[in-house]
Amino acid sequence: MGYICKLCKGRAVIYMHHHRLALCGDCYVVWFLKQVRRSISEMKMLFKGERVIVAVSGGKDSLSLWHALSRLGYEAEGLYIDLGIGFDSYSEKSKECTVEFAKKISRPLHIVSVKESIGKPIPALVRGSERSPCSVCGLVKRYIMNRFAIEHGFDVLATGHNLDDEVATLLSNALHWQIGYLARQSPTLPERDGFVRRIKPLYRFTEKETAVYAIINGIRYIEDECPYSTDATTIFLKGILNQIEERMPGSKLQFYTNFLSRARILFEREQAQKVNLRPCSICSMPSAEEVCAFCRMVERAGGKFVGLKVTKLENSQTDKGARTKDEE
Amino acid sequence: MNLSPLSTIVVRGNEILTEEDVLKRDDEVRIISAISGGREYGLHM
Repeated sequence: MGYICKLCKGRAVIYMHHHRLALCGDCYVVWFLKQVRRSISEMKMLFKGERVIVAVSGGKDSLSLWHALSRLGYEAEGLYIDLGIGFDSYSEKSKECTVEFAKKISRPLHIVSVKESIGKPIPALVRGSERSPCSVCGLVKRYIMNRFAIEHGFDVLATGHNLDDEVATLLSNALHWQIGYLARQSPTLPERDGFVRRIKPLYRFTEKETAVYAIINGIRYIEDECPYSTDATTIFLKGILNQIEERMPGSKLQFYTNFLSRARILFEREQAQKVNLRPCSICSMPSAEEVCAFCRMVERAGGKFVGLKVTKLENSQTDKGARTKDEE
Repeated sequence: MNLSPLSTIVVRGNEILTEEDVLKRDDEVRIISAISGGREYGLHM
């Protein structure tokens, strides 16, 4: 005998130990959307009339986020960054999932090619850099996402980071006492000169919860891991945190939400006067140094930024927002 | 198999199973990993 849905007494598909809550598929989708709405409201993420772009990778988190925002009535557009990772056809497969999903929910999708914008795909940039692959990729994606949002008049950039991502990051930053990073780790990073507002509406969901949302809604996402991330420390830390969670349910959510409510402000105060941003002398985007980290990395790898090369798929909107599998 | 219910999803046909569901002989299931990695620390979007 499996778990019974707490709300409708049907067969449950998920039991969330930290909420002591078992739900069936239909009730879970309703609950999930309510939680997203709550996060958006409580963390002052989005306001009426604002244009929002969702960074989508073809994975479960970003596609679930785009789906949920559409279901909640936000006319979000998608931004896919083609990293040009050929190994295992990773970029090709992730792009295919994203394009298919954008068509399914009839929302515009913008595709930026790293290779066309910089002259080199991610693998070549990694080879020419001393940074780790995840660091190179993160730097390129952050730069492109922010620059794209600004150039195309979006007010808000939404990403699919989930609770496991946030807690693993928090633990790593705390292990190294990275004060600057701790000061800026938040589900909402307000806009400031040269940066759009950045939001993470899924920050209260575990990875399993976003995956279950994707499966219930028939979202086809790329299950393969990025070939560069197989040894990533993230996966190790997430495993350790799940061991703690198994022993003490609720630890992950409590660790992160208590950090937000009690500790983050201390790091923010400590950091307030330390960072002075100025325009990068090469690309004019905000930078702490004369030349920004992105331009330095591109130059070292022998690339040249020639502007964002964007392809837009309109996916004309014939219906409003996404639908669940059952509604189709 | 030493799988954690926190990081894996078990699907039988179109049904998502929980750790309380019982498998029958000849049931075919798919085990999906819910853990992904590779996101950079520090600046973390």
